[in-house]
Amino acid sequence: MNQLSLYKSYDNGSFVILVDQAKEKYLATQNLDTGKSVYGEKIIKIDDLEYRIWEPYRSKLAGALLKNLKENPIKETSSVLYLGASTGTTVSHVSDIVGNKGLIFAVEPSVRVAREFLENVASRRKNIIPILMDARRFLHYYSYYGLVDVVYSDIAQPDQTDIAINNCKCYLKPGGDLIIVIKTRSIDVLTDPKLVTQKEAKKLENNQFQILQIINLEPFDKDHSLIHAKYLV
Amino acid sequence: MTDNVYKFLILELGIAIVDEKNQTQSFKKFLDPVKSHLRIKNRDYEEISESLEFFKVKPELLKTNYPELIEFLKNNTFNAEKIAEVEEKQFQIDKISSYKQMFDSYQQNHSELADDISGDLREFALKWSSIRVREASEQLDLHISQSINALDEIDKILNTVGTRMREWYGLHFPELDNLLQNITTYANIVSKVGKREEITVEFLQTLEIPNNKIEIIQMTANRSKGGKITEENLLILQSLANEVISLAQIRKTLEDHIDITMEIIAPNLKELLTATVGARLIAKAGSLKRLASLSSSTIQILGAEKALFRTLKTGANPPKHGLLFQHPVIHSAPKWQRGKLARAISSKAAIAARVDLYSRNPESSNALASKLNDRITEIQEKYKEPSEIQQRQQQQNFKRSERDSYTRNKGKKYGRDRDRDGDKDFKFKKNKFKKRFHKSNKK
Repeated sequence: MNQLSLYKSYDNGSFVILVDQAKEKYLATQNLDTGKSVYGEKIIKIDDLEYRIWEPYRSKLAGALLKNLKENPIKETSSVLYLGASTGTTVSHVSDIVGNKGLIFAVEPSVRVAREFLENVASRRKNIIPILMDARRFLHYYSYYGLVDVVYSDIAQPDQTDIAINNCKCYLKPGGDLIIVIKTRSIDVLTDPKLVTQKEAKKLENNQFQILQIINLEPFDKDHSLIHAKYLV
Repeated sequence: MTDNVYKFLILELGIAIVDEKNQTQSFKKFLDPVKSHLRIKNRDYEEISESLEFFKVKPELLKTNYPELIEFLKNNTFNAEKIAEVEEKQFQIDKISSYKQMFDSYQQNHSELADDISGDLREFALKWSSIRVREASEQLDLHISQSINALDEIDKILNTVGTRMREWYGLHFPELDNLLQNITTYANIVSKVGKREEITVEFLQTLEIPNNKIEIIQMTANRSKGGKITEENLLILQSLANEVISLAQIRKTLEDHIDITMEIIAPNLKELLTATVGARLIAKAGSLKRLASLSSSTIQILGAEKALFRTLKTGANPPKHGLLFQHPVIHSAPKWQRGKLARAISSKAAIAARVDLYSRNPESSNALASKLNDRITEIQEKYKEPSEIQQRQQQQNFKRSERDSYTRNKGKKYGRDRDRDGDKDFKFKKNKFKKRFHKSNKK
């Protein structure tokens, strides 16, 4: 990864594709919190602008984009409800993309990882509101307001799809987008991942969602898939 | 008379009283929202009582979004219930405009812009989330998990460094290694005396070594096959020995600490299983709360996950015990009793965990322990000899190892093919067929 140059840029430059001398492509986002690397990712400076490399093996959204996610609903002024923020690796990149006019409500119940999330990401970026609660108790979120454009769900629970659907029914605007990462091994250890994904997709369709795309996240994540759906109400 | 129904809402930034038409009747802004919320969480309802003074006439019904308040309100002769979910949802969605309305009507010299409100909400979220992190890290059972993990790690380190010390000192006095099993005694000799010629009977007596052993040590020290050791090497070896002594001390303190802490947070669990086994279960489950919500069959095999998933995937025999194997009753029992003992102990351990978490009743503690002991003695009496099937299994295992040493397929997995032929009356083997042809595996 030597000399990197700009190949393509989206969302007013907040999300870019960089290319190096060997014609290898890398995803990157323009850093909102300049100087700080959140999870050890590389920081690149091009033309006085600072970018952070978006690693697909660490972040599922980056993996999906590299596996040809046709329509990325997370744009420059989007408001996002992010379920499963964890230590904030993907949240930081989403925060870079939505910029200071966008907003992210980041939900994470585990205090052990939320501690790092608060210190490295949430306190340093003004467009993130951290909510330390279980996503099943969505009616009681503190500091939450309004309807969101996108719900991004990355939870490891057997009822992950139900949790995502309930959050959408409550807080997703009509015509909004849902991106849900299906962790098949959290749902069923024995069954084939494809079958599990199909079952969850059917659940979404029965709850007024239109499936736009299903992506298998191999080789970036084993037994994971990502579903992009639209909420038709 | 819906005019007399009000909503009493504890919001992030203040206390609001709203009527059924969603018009704000009263709003009291918190000077320090986080502190106020902490007080309310700790049942200090002073600010709430102040706000309740708004009601000169008692309303017919008070709906609140804070369920813990309902009892307090009822004690103060209010008719209270929880607000409906649809109303809660609507409030979350309209939050900014609702706040704006409240600030406009009831705060002087304030022109709260929507930005300021969302900024205040974010401030609250950051601070409140930090408080939740802090509270959760204070729980004593988290410290127990760390203690038991520290104990296991110190054991490993003590073993490694102690063995190294024995090897090294063995260049000077090799016979001592076989004579002294206890690592602390050995380390004391190395550290406090050093050269084998200078070991005196009085010193060995202070280490509480039996007299006959002291004689043997003296004799072998004079006739030792080990070489001389230089001052420099001895010095370094002695600092290594000092490390061993301090590690052993830390280990002892940790053990005592775990004992004391278990007595405080989970005395019933400590009584049924020993302190270390109880602490290991809590560490494995994550916290006492998680342990209490597990079923007794999960507790039975907690720690044997590899064997469990092997069973689910290939239909092998399921594990009989996980971490519970370390219980003195189980690991000293003969093989055929272990499964029954593990099941009995885990069933009572599940109840003990729940008693420890929710309410400590000395009567229930005694009942648990005595019932468990009764059942353990029952198993040990009733199953003194293995049953016919188990005897045959034992013999088969013995024959299998004999067979393997002669056949060419020594390392290959036996079992599945061979078992299909014999032992048609052993019912558990049917699992091997069931799992592979289960309908969920159909493609």
